[in-house]
Amino acid sequence: MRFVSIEFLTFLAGVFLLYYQLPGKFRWIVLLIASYAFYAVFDYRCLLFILITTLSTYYAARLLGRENQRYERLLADNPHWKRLEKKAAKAQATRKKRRILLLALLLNFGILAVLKYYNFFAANVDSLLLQLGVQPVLPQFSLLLPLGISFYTFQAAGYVIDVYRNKYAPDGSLFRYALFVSFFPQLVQGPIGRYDQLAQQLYQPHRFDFTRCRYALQLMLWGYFKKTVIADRLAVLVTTVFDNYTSFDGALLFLAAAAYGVQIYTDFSGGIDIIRGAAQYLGIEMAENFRRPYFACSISEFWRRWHITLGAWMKDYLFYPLALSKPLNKLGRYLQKRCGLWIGKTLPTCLVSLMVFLVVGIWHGAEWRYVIYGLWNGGIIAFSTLAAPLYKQLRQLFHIQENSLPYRLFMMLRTFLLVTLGRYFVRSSSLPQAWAMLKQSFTDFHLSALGNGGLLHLGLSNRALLLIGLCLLLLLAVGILQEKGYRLREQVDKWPVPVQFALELAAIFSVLLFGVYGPGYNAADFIYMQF
Amino acid sequence: MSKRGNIIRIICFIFLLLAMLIVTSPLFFVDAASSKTFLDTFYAQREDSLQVIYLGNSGVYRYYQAPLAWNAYGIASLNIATASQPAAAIRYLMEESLKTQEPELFVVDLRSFSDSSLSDANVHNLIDFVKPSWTKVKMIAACCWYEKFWYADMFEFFFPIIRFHDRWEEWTWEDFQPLISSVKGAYTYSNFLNNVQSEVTEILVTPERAQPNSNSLWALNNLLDYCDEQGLTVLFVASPFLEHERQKQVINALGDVVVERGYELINFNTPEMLEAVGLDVATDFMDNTHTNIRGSILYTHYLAGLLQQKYGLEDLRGQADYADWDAAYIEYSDLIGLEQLAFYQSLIGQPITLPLSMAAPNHSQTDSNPD
Repeated sequence: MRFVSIEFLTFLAGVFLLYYQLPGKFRWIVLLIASYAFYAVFDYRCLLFILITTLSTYYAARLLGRENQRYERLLADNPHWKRLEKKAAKAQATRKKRRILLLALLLNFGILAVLKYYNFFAANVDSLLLQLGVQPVLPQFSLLLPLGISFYTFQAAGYVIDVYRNKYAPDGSLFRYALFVSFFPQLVQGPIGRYDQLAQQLYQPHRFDFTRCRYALQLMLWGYFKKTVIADRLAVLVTTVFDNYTSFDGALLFLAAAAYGVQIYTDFSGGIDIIRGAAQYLGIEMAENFRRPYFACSISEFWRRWHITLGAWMKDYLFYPLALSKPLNKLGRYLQKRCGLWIGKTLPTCLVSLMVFLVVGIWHGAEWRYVIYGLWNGGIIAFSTLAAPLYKQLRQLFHIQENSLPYRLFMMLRTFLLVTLGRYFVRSSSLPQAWAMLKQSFTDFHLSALGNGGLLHLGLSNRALLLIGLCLLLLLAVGILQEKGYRLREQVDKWPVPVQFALELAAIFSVLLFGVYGPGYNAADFIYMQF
Repeated sequence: MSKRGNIIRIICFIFLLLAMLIVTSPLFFVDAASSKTFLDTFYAQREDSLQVIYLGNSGVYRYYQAPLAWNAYGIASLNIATASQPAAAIRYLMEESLKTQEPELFVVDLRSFSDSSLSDANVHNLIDFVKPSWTKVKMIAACCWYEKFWYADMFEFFFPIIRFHDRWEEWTWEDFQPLISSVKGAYTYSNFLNNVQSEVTEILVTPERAQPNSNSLWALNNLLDYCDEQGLTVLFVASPFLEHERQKQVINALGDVVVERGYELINFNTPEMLEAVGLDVATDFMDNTHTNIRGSILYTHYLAGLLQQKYGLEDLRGQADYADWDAAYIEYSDLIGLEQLAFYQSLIGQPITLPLSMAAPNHSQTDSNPD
């Protein structure tokens, strides 16, 4: 059931109606049934995997919670214990908890690894063996990739880790926890929710609020606009160039890569807006996942604005544990002694950034080009961190105000260029293609290719190109207003009702008229659904 | 805003949204197989100006040319026929036409009821060009039930913008204009007018019957019930075609149903009628299911003559209100070419032989003489 379909809208309308018609205590059950029904319609064969994740993480968390309570009881029962005794008890409890946590994480990430990465691993091992003159040993399989497995696995893992850390008590109801894992709006492409922010909202009944529901529908409409009018239309241009890159000038290759950056942004953020709007209609506020990423002045800032929940997850569950780990601490102390305090603090952090972004890259897909993509981003962040003092000196030398508009615009453009170079790896069908396209972009670059009617050979009519231009201007205008803190929906709400009607009708009509959807349009699949 | 205020707001918004979708949808239609032309031409006719309305699929518009009937007999007749017209829609087309016309007679081609399952494109071909009304809603519901369309497809019939929205990239000024035929919907396809001839040399004739599918029977009985209810004069026909034995057998069976219900039937796929019309397989068919212009001239001459003789239709030639019909004939006679024009003019005045089942003039279904 695609988001861009009458069936999904009907399903949503049915859920909305049922939710608000039933008594409050049954409303979360409606969401649970709807979520599993939604998942089953997408692919009933994958229900087993989400059930395994739900059950394993639920019971693991229950066991962890029990251990936490046992430890606290132990301390309470033995107030006379000295520090060493307390430390020993804690170490014992931690050892036991760690075993439970590791089992749960191994099982779930193991499933993810096998389903998503086994064939990649097998292909590379066999390739290596072949080069060594040995026959391939690892078979490849046609494996099912459950919908949204990366998203719900990370979400459930975060829950278990939080319970391990005793951040909150585990959920006492399996079915309510199942709703947290399977809540249907987030299944397709996130956002990756946190239990303490999301669960209570899911379980408690919400009253129908006309204004909130209207805002929710407006948000969904904006999402559909971004997805169907901009993203799916740009997909034509991007596909035309990437599928036949040797026929195009370097300037057009770069344009296509930049267009892909806009496509993936509007596709992903459009989908998130639809998801958040659907959840908001039910009274549930889901985490923001995008905050105008192309306004970022650095790659670090870009990743704090792009796929925010993934970045936050990586930060909380990978970056900090790695950065605070004993080996990295040891390294830091070693470097401090040899190279000074600043290097001793900074270099380990850069190393961790590289490792985290390697994981981010691999999370995107089981291919070398995603590995390079991750390392590209991590490498830039690491380099920027190391070069920060140099940049500061250069700014002082040239009397550049860091917050001045020209400098910020320059930084935004620079960041956009760096991000775009990374997009070559994500969009290309293979690593060799990505390298070839990058090389061609630089060695065969002619600005004149953008004129001379070159743009009309990219699969889009001149009307479609004009439409895209207008839409991008609209996107930019909305982004600037939001960046300045302008709350658009609330402001529009103050306008006369006929004007609001006209705007809303024009928006609906624009999506219906200019949207790319209907028979034969595969682009209705979201890019991030495959993750 | 109060709860009541919010409800009013929602209702107003939905109303405006529906109005917007309905009003803008015609901008996106594709005039495949001239369907828009046929329907727009019908809607452009002066109220209560038509004596005969002929309903069906290509078995109508490739056979019967209104300007030729007008010039020979002074009959104001019009085809409301579209390619592969859905059988379930015919009853509602009749209802739609009665809103602006009071024809003395309807002619319905049974071939529409013998078509196997149609695609949604065939249904769009008709429904998209019918004006918005409750009749159209009923037509959509009937066609969707008949053709077993999925829910999402039904939505597209109500709001065709969903299906055809990407036509905005092709818009020209013509998309914003109605397409009214200046030749009263007469067929102007080049191969037809160029008298292309079929390679099939024999016409298959069969007296056998084959059971129609239940949907076809439902659609036909639904139509007959409506005709009974409205007290309409209806002549059922089956225009002649060369092959497809099973389809002819089904038409024979459908014809039995029509006669049993007390309506007149002319099945042109019988030896008697083929001879009466004077059709020659060697020269008068464009392909195995349609006549060419020559065959159409013969068919029009015969059928129009039969309608006037049997149903006593007034000769309207010379009346000032019908000057546009004269103009339509002049234009169409230019299109068909001198040779075919000469052939057509040679037929004018020649008597036609009524089928045995129609020995005497009859104005209603209650006077029918069964075979």
